[in-house]
Amino acid sequence: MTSPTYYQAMSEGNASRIKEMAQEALGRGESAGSVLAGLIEALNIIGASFRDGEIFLPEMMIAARAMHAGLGVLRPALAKSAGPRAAKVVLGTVQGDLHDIGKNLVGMMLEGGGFEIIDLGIDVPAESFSETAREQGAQVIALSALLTTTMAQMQETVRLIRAEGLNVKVVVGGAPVTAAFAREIGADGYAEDAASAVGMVRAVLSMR
Amino acid sequence: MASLSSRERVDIALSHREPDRVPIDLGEGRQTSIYLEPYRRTGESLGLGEMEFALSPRDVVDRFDERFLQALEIDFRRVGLREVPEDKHIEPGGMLRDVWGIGWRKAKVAAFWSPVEHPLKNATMDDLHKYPWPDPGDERRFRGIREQAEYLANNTPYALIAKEPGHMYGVLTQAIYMRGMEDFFVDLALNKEFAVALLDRIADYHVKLYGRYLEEVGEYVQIVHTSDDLGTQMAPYFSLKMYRELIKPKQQRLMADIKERTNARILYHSDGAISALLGDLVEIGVEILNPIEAAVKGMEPAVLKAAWGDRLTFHGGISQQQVLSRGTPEQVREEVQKRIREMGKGGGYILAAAQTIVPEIPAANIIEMFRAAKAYGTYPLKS
Repeated sequence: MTSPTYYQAMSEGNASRIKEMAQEALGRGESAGSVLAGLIEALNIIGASFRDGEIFLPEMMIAARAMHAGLGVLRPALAKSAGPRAAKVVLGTVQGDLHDIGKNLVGMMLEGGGFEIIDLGIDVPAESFSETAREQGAQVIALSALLTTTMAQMQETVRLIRAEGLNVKVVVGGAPVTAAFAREIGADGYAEDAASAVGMVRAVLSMR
Repeated sequence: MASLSSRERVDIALSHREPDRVPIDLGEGRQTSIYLEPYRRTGESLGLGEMEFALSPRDVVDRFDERFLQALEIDFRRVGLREVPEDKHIEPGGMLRDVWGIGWRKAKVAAFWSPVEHPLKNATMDDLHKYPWPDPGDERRFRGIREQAEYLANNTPYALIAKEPGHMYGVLTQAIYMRGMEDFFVDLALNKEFAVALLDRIADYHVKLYGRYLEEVGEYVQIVHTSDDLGTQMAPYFSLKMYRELIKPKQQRLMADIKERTNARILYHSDGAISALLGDLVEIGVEILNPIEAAVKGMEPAVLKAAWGDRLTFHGGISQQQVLSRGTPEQVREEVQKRIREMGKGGGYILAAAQTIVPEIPAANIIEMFRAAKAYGTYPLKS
């Protein structure tokens, strides 16, 4: 059982320790998938503490960065392994909005959760989301907005994606976004914070 | 009490007593202002025709036409520092570079500038030592502001606010803009030495600048406006322990210095769910809290009033996203009535929009907000 140590290194934001541990585990012959599972378990515990208000943004960010470092080690091995293909998620902050912290955190959490992330960045036009999802065969589009004023743009983006008739789930989040608003604009899923995003995307995909 | 001046009205409200009516505010510059489009539309609806204005470096109305403030019966007037050309330099490609080297960009479809380039993003301690700080005593910023404040104090009946200087932000916010939010938050957790050194340098600048500023206007103003966002809609940015260890001492230093130079009260703006920090903020000298967003966790006006109403005056309260932008004038009226009922009793409430008024807000709602504030805000309040 390695995840308690992963948990410790990750809570301390010790990215180099996480990297070493992942390398050591691979060196011992542990599969990349199993190391990933251990890292995900650790990040899930930290995510739950964040959601419960036991830890705050700086602690969550250093853990996510450590997770990211660990993923860097695992990525080549994961790409080679013939395991079930993870769902692809197209992620971005909607047009008119230049905020990226929440989106980045969600991206790292989702990647940690085994998803393949295509991050379009900030200020992303509605059509870029649908075009990318079509070209890449993504199963999920994840939209972020931090300004109350870009919520309208989020609505417009969802509308456009629907109009294109893509077989894709659209999920939304960001400070001003509420579950009620997400329902109102016809999103398939909403997460209150980055930590909840992984479970929500999984739930949304199982609805397919 | 029919003949109270605005200044008397505000003084009484700030002393947690009931004047003739709840004071109302629409500010210039930071956080309490209005974008140009709704300013113009509202002016038209009020029949004012062409109006004077000046814009802040971030394109918010920074000086109103006096007729506009009079038509809405706003109780406040503001004084502030002068801008210098270095505050706003538009580079080829559209990036706005400010005096700190922070790069701001406007999204394609929006009115807002957001900080996207951070001069200390990859900086080491060495780089921080070499960073060229602007001069807090730059005389160009202070030219004529004493005369302006003195004139307003002696020749108008309004309460005066010293605006937050337009070229800077709260100590924490400025560290975030100079370093990048993610990187600075990581510093706070893993590289405290750098984080503290940066915060200290910024606090040095702030203390010197506010010192010089209040030397000029401190004796004339009733309120000094400060800000520093401390939370997201869900929670404070930091644990109480981290806040107290790393952020609060810098804020405390600035507030103590302000208090030494003026008898004015300190207005403090922070977005977010910061109810857990209010005791600390009161302790370091905050007496007026903006913006009071009812939809934010733990910031429900009735709860705040019950817990802090004897020590804090609340400024703001009228929701933009829920009511002003999407509501009917009838709903605006209800919102105003509700907020006055929740926060107006015993004074200690200044009614204003909870955010800078954005372009999509209809003029009718802005006018209705202030009309209703006067109708429902007359003391004694009807329950």
